[in-house]
Amino acid sequence: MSSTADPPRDSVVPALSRVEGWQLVSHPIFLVGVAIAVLGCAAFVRTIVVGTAISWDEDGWTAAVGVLMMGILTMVATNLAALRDRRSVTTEQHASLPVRPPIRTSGLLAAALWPTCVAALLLASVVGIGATQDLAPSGVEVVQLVGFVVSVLLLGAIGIALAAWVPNPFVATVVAWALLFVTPGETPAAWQSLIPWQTLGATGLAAWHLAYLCGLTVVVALLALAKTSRPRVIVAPMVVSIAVVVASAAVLLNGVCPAEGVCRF
Amino acid sequence: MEQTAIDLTGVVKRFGAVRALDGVTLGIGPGVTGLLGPNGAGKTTMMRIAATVLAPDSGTVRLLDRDPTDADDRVEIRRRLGYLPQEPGFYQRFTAFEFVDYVAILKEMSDRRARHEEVRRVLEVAGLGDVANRKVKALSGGMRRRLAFAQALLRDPGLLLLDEPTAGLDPEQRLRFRELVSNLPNRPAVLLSTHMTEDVTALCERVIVVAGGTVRFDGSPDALAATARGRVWVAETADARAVLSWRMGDGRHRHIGDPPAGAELTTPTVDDAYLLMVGGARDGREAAA
Repeated sequence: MSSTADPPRDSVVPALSRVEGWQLVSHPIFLVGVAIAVLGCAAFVRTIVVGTAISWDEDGWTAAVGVLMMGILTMVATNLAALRDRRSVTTEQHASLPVRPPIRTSGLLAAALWPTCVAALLLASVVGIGATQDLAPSGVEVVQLVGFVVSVLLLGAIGIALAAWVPNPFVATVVAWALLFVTPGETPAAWQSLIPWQTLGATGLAAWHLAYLCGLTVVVALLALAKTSRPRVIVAPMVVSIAVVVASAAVLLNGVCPAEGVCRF
Repeated sequence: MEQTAIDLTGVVKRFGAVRALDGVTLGIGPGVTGLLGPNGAGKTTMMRIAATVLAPDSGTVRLLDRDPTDADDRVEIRRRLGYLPQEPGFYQRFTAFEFVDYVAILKEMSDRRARHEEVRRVLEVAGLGDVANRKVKALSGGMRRRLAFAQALLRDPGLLLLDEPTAGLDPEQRLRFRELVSNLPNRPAVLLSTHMTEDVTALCERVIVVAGGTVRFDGSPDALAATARGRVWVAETADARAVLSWRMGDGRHRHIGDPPAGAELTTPTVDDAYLLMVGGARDGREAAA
C-alpha cells in the first residue's frame, strides 16, 4: 500500500533526524570517539572509586578530554553525513525528490542531538558514580559539564556548516586536527575564554560561557541553513543569537560580571 | 482525456558549444514510451529536464500539467515523479531497506509504519525482498540496479523516468524488468531511455528516436520498423554499398541501406530501422564535419 497523503513538509524533519541520528551514532568514526570518551571517563571514575580524586575541576580532565575528542569526531561524522550525496553521487537523484535542502539540513542538525545525548548520558553516568562516592559536582561544575555536552552539539553543527559552505571532507579533517591544538591554558588568557571547551568555574563566568556556547551553536546551525534557506527565515533568529554571542563574549573577554551575583551560582 | 505527463515545446539546452537539445517539441502521455538514440544524442539531457534537475535554456516544459519553473509546482511534480538516473548512486553503509527508506522520507513519507510498508512493497516488486537487510556495498551490480529501480517506484509515481534501466542486468533480470514495467499499477507515464532496441520492441507502445539533439522519429515500434521497409536485404556476400552490414549466424550477410536491383529483401526490424536512421544521422554529421 502506498501513502498518497501529502504531509506537512516539516514533519519530515523528525523522520530524517531519526534515520540520520542512528547513522551518526553507528558511524565508525563516532564510535571511535565514544571509545575515547569512555576511556577518559573510566580513568576519572577509577580515581573516584579508589578515593584519590579531590574534585571535578582537578581530576575530571580525562573525562573532559574524552568528551571533547568525541565532539571532534562527531564533527567529522556529521560532515561526512552532510556530504554523503556528493560522495555517493546521489545529488542528482535526490534533487528530483520533493524534500528541499533546508529540510534535509534541519534533519541533520536535529540528528546531531543523538551524539549530544550520548555525551550527556556518559557524563550523567560519571556524575551518578561520583555522587555515590561523595564526589558530586558543584553547581558551577554542573554548568561546565552541560557546556561540554553543548560543545558536542556545537561541533556537530560545525561539521554540517562546513559541508554546506566548503563541501570537501578534507576540510573537516583539517579543522579537527587544528582543534586538537586549541588547548585552554591553566590560567587562560582573555581570548581563551572564548574557546568552547574552556572551563571558567574559577572565574565565576561559567554561566556566561554556557550562554556563549548556546548562542554560538545556534549561529553555526543557522549558518548551515543559510546556504539553502530563504534569508527571511533565518535573519531574526540569527540576529538574536549573534546578540547573545556578542554580549556573552564581551563579558568573557572583560572577565567581569555586569552585575554582582549574576555570574555565580 | 488522458493527461500529458511531459510536454516539451521548442526546448533547447546547450552545454558550451554543444546543443544537447535543439528545439525539441513533443508530448508524452500514459503508457511506456521508449527513447532511443546513440550516445550524446540528448536522451539523458531530456530525462534530466523531465526529472526537474536541469532547466532548459529556452522553450517551455510542462510536467504532469504543472510548470517546473514555479517552486510550488516543482514540489508537486517531484511528489509524483520516479527517477532512475543513468548512473544511480547509493549509500554504501546503508542496507537496501535503509536506503529505500531514506529516499521514502525524502519523498515526504513521514509516517513510519506506512513508509516501511511501502519500502517493503517496492523491494518485493524489485525482487529484493530477501536481501533487504544486506548492506548496499554487498549487493551485486544487477541488484543495485534493481534497488535504484525500487526507489523510483515509491508512492506509485505518475511519471516514471528510467534512464538505461536494463544496463548491467542479465537476460533473466531484463525479462523480469519488462514484466515489472508492463504490470505497473494505474498506468503511469513511463519514459524509458535505452540503447536496447529489444526492450523497446517488447515494452513500448511508442518510440522516440533522438539524434543530434533533435527528434528523428516519433511513432509506434512497428511504424519505426516500417521506415526500413525495402532497405534491408540478405546476400551470400558482403556488400560495400550498404550503410551497415554484418555476417549472420547462418553465414549469410544482412545489409541495411539502398539495396541493389534484384536484392533479396527481408522484413525489417526496429533494430534495422534504428541503425539506418542513426547510422544515416552519423554519416551526415561526419560529412558535415
